[in-house]
Amino acid sequence: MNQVATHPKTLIFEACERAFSDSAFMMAAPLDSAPDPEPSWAGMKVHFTGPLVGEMTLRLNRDLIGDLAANFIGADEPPAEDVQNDALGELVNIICGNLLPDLTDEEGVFDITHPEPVETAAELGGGAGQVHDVYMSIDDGFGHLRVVLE
Amino acid sequence: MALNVLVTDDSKIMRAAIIRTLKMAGIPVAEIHQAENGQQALEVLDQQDIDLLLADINMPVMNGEELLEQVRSTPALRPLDVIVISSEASPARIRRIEGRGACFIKKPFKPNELRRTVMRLTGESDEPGGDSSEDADF
Repeated sequence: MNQVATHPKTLIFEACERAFSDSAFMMAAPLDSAPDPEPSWAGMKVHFTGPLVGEMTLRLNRDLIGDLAANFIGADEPPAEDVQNDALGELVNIICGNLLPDLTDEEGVFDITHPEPVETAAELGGGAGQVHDVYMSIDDGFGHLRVVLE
Repeated sequence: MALNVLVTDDSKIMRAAIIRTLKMAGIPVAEIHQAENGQQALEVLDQQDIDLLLADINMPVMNGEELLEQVRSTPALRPLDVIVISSEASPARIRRIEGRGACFIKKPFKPNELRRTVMRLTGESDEPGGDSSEDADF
């Protein structure tokens, strides 16, 4: 099991808040849990190795992803769907890269894989790993970041 | 002097964001070329006269660090100005990049940060000519 910072959820939320604000001009606020029922969502996952090993999945309301992508490139209208998915993948990559060095005191280089789409709750992963879930309201929608550490 | 720039990133939206940032920062740009990975970047570098290479790290086929190694081991490309742009900014990573004679910028970044780094690399004066006052990050 990896050595992890004592308050990972705070660090995870702060990394998300910065990434949404700085990359896409979107405001994040913490939620205690996912909304019930959950809205339709899309997700992207990256795996990482280095001083910490595991995976990170970001899922967002489908309705938010067009705005996310448009804000990313300063466009007035949402870009094509493949570009929207690209924006979601880039955002989880940014969160992951910014967060991991804060989660551990161990020095080393992290390698992060290319983002892959996640379409079902079963693909969120967890298993025997150490799971950290952070739920957020993002503008008028919902966001969830799951970090699984081996 | 206006620069011929090669933007290398497997993410289409990130290439678009970087190109937009280059323009917002008022960096004098003549031509902008794009590549999706390090291998494509080497092909562009072989065919075009590029002054500045901007490269992501995590790319399929050939990643940014492998690209930088190829650039530094190719005599004709060795003097090329290179900026590596990545979200993963561990001190060990940055030391490795800078040890190969490249600059490092962490995502997300502000237009002025890109401008300062480009101007430092190219030795140009740092007088904004574009909309660098905009406070957006990418």
